[in-house]
Amino acid sequence: MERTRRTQARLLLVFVLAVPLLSGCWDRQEIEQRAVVLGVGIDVASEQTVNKNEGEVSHLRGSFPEPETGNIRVTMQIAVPGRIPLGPGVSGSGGGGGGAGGQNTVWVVDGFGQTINDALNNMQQSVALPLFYGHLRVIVISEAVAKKGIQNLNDFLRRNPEIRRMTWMVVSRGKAAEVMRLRRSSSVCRRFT
Amino acid sequence: MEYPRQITAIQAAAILISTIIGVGVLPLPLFAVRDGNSGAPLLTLLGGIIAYIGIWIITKLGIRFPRQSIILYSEAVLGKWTAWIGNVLIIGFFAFLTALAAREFGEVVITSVLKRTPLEVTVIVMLLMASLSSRNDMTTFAYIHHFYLPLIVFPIVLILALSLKNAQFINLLPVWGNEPSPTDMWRGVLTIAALFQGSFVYTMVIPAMRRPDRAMVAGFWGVFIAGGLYVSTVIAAVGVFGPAETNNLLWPTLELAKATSLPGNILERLDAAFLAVWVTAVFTTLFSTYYFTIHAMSRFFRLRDHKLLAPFILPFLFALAMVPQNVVQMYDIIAIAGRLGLLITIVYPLIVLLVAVIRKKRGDAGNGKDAENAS
Repeated sequence: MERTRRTQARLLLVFVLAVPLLSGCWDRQEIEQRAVVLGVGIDVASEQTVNKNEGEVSHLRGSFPEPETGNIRVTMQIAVPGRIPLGPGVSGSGGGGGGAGGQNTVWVVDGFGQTINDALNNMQQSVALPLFYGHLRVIVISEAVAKKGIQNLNDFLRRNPEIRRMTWMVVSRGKAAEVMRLRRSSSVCRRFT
Repeated sequence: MEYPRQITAIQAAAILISTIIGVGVLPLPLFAVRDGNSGAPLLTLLGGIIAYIGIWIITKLGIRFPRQSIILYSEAVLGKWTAWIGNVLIIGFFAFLTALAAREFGEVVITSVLKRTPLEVTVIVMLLMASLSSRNDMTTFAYIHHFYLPLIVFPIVLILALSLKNAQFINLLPVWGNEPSPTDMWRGVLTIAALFQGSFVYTMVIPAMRRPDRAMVAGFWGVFIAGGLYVSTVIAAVGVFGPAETNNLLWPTLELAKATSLPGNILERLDAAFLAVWVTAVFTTLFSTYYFTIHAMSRFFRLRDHKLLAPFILPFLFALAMVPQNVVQMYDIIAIAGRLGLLITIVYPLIVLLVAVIRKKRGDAGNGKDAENAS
């Protein structure tokens, strides 16, 4: 009798100890559930466009003192899953739907805001999946933004643990958004490699 | 009870290496660069030399008293009450070191891997693991370290070698740093020497060695290999990022792993692989300091066994780990506590050694009445 009770107590203990493991990787993020950002372009934006395009996502309108560096427009290239042929000769497994040739391998989105964080939060509102910066290849800054100083931007990007320090940072003569929209006729996605 | 003398020289060196390489690898280049600029590798080398002096003193004492650890022979040398102060400091310091290492581990994990997990969970899981593992005896302790050693050393060497592809030699010049100021240099050297402090557990290993006379060789190789890895880490990080950028990174070694890829883009970033290795390295370090804390306590209270103390100190360590308010304050505490700790891990043994030489005290190699009774 004493024996069985002990065994039962032990079994119970094993079950209780197993409970914490059941939660598993509860905060995992599968690769197809991420929006992989490949490039970021940063431009100046006029106050009107920002007011028109910025929803009241990160702050109420007018509740925020205007930053000295002015408003920002962020353009972003997001990889479209399944449409990126990984190098020459390998056809993208586009699920049978047309392949990679005719379609865009990346999707370009805009976000407006007073600061870069603001703009990225606004942009997140127009993208269903959480943005993932782990594979970010290039950051294009327009000349107009660069002239105001990039210390602030650089600091923001450095504090994001996903962004690598080997990411290219370039300054464009024209608008950074135009660089983001550049498309090569070749279907191979190696613009930044 | 006969003391099991089963640890070989290679195992002793393995214990040293895996104890030294731990949580400190991540901020190491930052510590070195902050005080030494481009002279960071030189600073690390000097820190390693100071650490080696500490090990040399401990080993000398260990060979002189081959059956005891510092808790017992310091009583024989300095007198019971004087040594009592030193021993309390040693135990307290190592408890603190364990708690801070667990906290540092937690901070890294919640920042870069498990972003939505509370800090407390990661800290307590690591402490629990160390607590459960330290219920083993000294031989198992050595086996665990010996087993994990290749898993720690080889991947780190591989990552460092691959990262050198991005390195530029000019980042490392001038070798002595830009306009070095002696006070900064000195502070940096001490901070880095403090990262080697885990090696103090050697004092507990020597009495369990099969041949304590080989402790000197093992101690040298242990510090040499660990120090070599430290210097190469700093060279790689500073070589890739340059001193100015390294100064802006909280964990340059982690950033280095992120920026490093396997050839042919098999793995584009090695930070996941590096963190997996690093968790093992942190575990072995925590395991050593945790084990040393309870081992020293059991000697101090003249207990025959240390197992009972393992769960007992866990809540205290957890509370200590939660003391720093944030990462910045934690690193301030680590730097200051580390430098002060050198008084305990190097200066105190030096005093014991000098007094032992002056008083001509020697431990008996046979079964003396104060020989350690250990499990």
